[in-house]
Amino acid sequence: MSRPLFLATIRWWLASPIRLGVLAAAALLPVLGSVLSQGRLPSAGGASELALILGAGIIGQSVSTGTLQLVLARPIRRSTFVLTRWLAVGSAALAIFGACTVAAWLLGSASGMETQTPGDVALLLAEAALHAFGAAAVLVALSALVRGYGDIAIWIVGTILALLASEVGQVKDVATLRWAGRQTLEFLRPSVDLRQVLGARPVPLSGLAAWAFTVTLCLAVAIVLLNRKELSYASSGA
Amino acid sequence: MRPAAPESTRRPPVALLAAAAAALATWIGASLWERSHPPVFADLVKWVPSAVAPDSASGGKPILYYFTADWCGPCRVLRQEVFSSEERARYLNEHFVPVIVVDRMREDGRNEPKVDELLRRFSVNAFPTLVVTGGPGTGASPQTGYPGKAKTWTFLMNAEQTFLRAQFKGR
Amino acid sequence: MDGLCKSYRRREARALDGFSIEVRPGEILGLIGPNGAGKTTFLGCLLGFLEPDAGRIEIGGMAPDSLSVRRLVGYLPERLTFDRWMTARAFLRLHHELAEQPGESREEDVAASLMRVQIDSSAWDTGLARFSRGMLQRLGLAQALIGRPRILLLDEPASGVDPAGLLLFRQLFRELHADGVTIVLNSHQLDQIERVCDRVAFIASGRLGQIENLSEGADSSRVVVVRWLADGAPEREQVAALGQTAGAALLEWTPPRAAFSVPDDRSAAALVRALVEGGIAVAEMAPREGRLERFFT
Repeated sequence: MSRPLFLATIRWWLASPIRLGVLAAAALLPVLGSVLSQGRLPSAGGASELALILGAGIIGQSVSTGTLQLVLARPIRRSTFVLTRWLAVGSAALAIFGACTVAAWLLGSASGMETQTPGDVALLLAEAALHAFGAAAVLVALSALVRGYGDIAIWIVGTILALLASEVGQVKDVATLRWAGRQTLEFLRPSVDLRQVLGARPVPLSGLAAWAFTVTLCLAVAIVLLNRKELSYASSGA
Repeated sequence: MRPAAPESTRRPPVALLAAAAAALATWIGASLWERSHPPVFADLVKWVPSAVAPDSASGGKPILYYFTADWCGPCRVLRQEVFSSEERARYLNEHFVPVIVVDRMREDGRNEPKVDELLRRFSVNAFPTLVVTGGPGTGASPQTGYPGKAKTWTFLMNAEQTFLRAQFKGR
Repeated sequence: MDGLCKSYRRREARALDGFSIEVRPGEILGLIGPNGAGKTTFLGCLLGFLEPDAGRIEIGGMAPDSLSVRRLVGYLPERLTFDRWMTARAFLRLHHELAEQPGESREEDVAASLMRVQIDSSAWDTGLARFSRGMLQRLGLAQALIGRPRILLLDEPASGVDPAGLLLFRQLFRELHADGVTIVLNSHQLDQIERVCDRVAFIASGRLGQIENLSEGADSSRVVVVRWLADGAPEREQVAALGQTAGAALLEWTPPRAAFSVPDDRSAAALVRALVEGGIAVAEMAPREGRLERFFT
């Protein structure tokens, strides 16, 4: 993990008012919703959205602006670069989600509404962590694949297509289509229903294993893509 | 790809690939195993199966019938939010006789006679349904569906109060 | 330790074709050649950013994309790239830390390096988007030097730099050279190259042409222009005759200047001597063309 790169990523986010605006909306709206709806806490999936907002262009933009070349000329492994970006996105998404959730929880308890127990909150945060680092990994892989903000574009298009596929598959009763749609959606948004996992006997590991597989595969793919990337800084000739 | 020296800035992610392979193997293995050993979602309430449940209140505690089915989605949420909560489960265990009634009409095409009887007695036609009663001849407070954690808990508390008042009056 | 050698081919389009060169440690090597000749590809391979299709590149016996080599190399790209939010100081702090330099001396090192490239302290905390091209080049050089490199790879360092900056760069290169730093630089500015480099490699169509050793004398004929003090008024024939004794042919007569064609250094020295002994007060003798321009004609 590269500390300077981690911090530089955070400052990169802070320098973009658009991103901050969208982030604030995505973080605060669910909190408002939950506060108004009798103390229900926001669902863990919100952390995925935050990770997507933070992760858009996380590698692709560096390639487009050319800053990647200059950083990679330093003694830093490309794998370190990828992992640092992943950690930055995941932890930032989780931190924001966590802060908003805890705030909502405190507000809820203070105003006398019936809220979750600390155990529930802890479980929610754990699920959010899986959401955040999962989505971050998928986006990092896409970002290593295409320049600029193509990563989030692919993710959105992929999600829409998968939704269509699963809906059409449901309506027309085409099992493969429904399955394909569902699997794609789960791949794009890796997560685990921890309550189900921890509450069932025997403990079903398949969900956790699927999450682990998706995340490690995406990170490995991103690293391989970056390793193979030929960086050309040539402008008009020479 | 040329084999890269360990010093290389482009060292291939061998550890990650190995982890991915291991995770994939676990996923496949676990999925296959779970197919033959379907996990049962347990909660913290000490449910008494309907077949052996008493018919009337015992030890000053009303009976809480929980009518459910495996395919019922809101039932899962009810279990997660109310029955899996430590303090709530503890309260239920201490103040009620919790009886679980599982409808298997869809899976088996028929039900156990006791299940059928209970379904008929309380006119249960949707799941989840919660019924609090002191036994035949006493009143019964039902809640159909899952209107949320707060409302459910309120219902349970009110139902308990109703039972206790009836008991008290009865003395 | 810094010796590097390479020979490679690359790609169908043959950006580099059978290139083989050895850079000696501590030397300043210049690369010149027409646009598209492969100079940038060459630097890309040296940095380990581009993989040759065939052949070998070694820096100090190691692959160019290894961590140890990266620690030794400072790189100035043709166009400096940075994130919009950065200030000069933040940019250098980032690279200082990326280059694994000690955190305790970070602030001083950054300030020292900014002063070394003569960027005014009022500009240290302004956004880089406001920097002029010349300032960016200086910052780029500061970035290349921040890791205390032993090898510098500079792509068009003089591009966009004003004369004061060029003087500064030359001074810095002299200092680095004295320190034993190996420098490979790529430039279109022949006169700057000539003043700074030990050797110059001419690259065209991906092939390595001649390597000119600037510390040695020029072996080819060239045109020199002699200027003498205006108080003497020598005759044309006299000057031509003096030139002939040295083996130099008078080409142009524009008093107080005259252009001679000299076949080699020896003849040039003889020419000066002949003119001086002949009573001409020679104030200056300079080549009309840079030594390197003939590569482009």
